[in-house]
Amino acid sequence: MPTDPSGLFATIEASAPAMAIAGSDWAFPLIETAHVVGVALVIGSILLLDLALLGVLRFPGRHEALQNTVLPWTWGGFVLALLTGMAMFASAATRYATNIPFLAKMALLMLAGVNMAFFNSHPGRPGARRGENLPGALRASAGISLCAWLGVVVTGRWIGFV
Amino acid sequence: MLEHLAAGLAGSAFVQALQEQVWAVALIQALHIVAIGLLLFPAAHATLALAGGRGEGAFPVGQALRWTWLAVALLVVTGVLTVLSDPERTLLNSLFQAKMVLLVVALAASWWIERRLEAAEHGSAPPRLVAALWLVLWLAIILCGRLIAYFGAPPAA
Repeated sequence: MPTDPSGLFATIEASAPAMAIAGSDWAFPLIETAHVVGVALVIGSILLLDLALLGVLRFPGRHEALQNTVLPWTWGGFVLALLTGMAMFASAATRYATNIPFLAKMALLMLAGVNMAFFNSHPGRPGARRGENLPGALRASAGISLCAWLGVVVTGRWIGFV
Repeated sequence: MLEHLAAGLAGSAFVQALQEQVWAVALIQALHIVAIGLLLFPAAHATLALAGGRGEGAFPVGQALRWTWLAVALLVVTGVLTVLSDPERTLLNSLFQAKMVLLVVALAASWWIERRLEAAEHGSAPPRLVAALWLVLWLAIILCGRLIAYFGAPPAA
């Protein structure tokens, strides 16, 4: 199976920033550490929100208030993880493009994104109307979010093992 | 002494069995990262509430601090297993040793901040500088942890 028919990944890998990362002893480990910090903020904050939606954790106030407190951390962590992830990918693009755990991680990220869009567009989402009970579809969505993000961490760590 | 401990552990049946299960080692490390998230997010939130002027919002600082202790428990369990998956590469690594020293300081700071927070009803909140340094300590611990894989190995005998 041709994995890089247009030569795009090879071009990325040969770019000056990618070569600089690949050619430095320190660049990759430091970028990777920043990636762990970003991932940690995403997983820590998302788990809290999902477990609150599922009723496992209890917090004072309405769920929207918890979202307002927590989501800026999730997005901040996500941007950090995305930028550092792109830098690491560029440094060995052709290798990552055929790495099964990497591809699984990207698929899980897409699942998490689609799931979030579903949650936010659902008429029964917290804040859209009053009431304590979360519709079953949204509870399922919170469960999918939990599993997808845990899967992102597991597949992400797995990248280095194959 | 540490050399003997590392060599002794490396020769144990449990360690050798664990080393053969690569999937288990990967899963343990992934859980360690999840636990880092369970520590870092509440720690960052608490620090900003204590030192940065951002309100605690719907996540009370006291609750966030209690979470960090739960995360530490999970970190210790997954961390010990990670050490056992390769005792000689971890215990003898100078960055691992630095990480353990920083960890003791960070845990002492956690304890102190919680005590000060309990006394805060009398108007003596934890100093902002200590809260900020506490978060920096955790970030340094994460840095040391990730760098163990690259640097800090003892010179080959």
